[in-house]
Amino acid sequence: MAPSRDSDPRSPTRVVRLRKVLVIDGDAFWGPAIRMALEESGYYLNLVTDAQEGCRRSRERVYDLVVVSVSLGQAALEAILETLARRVSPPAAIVLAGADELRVKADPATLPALAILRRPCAVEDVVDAARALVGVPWTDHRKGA
Amino acid sequence: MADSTILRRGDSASPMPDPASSSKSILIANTNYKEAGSIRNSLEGCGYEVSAWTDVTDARERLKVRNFDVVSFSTNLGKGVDGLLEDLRARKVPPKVILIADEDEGDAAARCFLRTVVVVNRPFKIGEVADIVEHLIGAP
Repeated sequence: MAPSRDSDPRSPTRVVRLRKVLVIDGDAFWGPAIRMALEESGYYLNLVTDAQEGCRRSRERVYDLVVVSVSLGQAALEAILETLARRVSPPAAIVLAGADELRVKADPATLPALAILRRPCAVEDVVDAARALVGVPWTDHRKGA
Repeated sequence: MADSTILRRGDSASPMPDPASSSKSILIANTNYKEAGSIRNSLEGCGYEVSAWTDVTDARERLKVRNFDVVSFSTNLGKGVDGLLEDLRARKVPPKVILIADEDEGDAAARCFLRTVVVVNRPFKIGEVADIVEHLIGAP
């Protein structure tokens, strides 16, 4: 006779939903640093250094948050934000901008949550902004299977 | 008599996986996100398996459960360095160590009491650590 589920000593399986983050930053230090900080906080991370690849990923995959740097170029930033805004359920976005690079023309109504962080800022500021925009890194999807 | 297993290892057409060919692993413990992140990316780009931590306690926990070929840590870990070094010294075969230190910390390597310690002084180029790793343990 198969043992009943109640008598199974093993802890029940937890199914969680991870928050997925895409970081698009060509900087050799900033991209890896943000990736590391967000991964340590528990988010699922993809890092790309190329604007075209970033555009492709944000079009083809589903992310909860996209972190994009203005250092990729104004045109690339606009293209990525436009791609995000076209999605049925657009992800939240964090734009990392230098003090003299802040010319984001994105319509605030098209993206549900947009945060702009001015550099220099701490890596922890990006983690705080991510947490504020999309919440905790993971949530229980349903109780034990 | 020749050992057939050894002969087979040199045969690239062999379907048997060679255990020695598994990727070499590196542990990074560094409180600086930029340093740790960029070293990790550079080593992963070369094909090494990397486990990077900004908290020395997490790094030590990881060290307890698996072996690493190289451990790279920074002097910015503060008092945590002593505990990490104790763990490394306690191992039968201690891994090779890359110590990231400021220039004025000249005796940092001597204080490790480990056989292989390579000191990298700040500021350093990102690819420098990958070159040292390759020199120490070979290509991945």
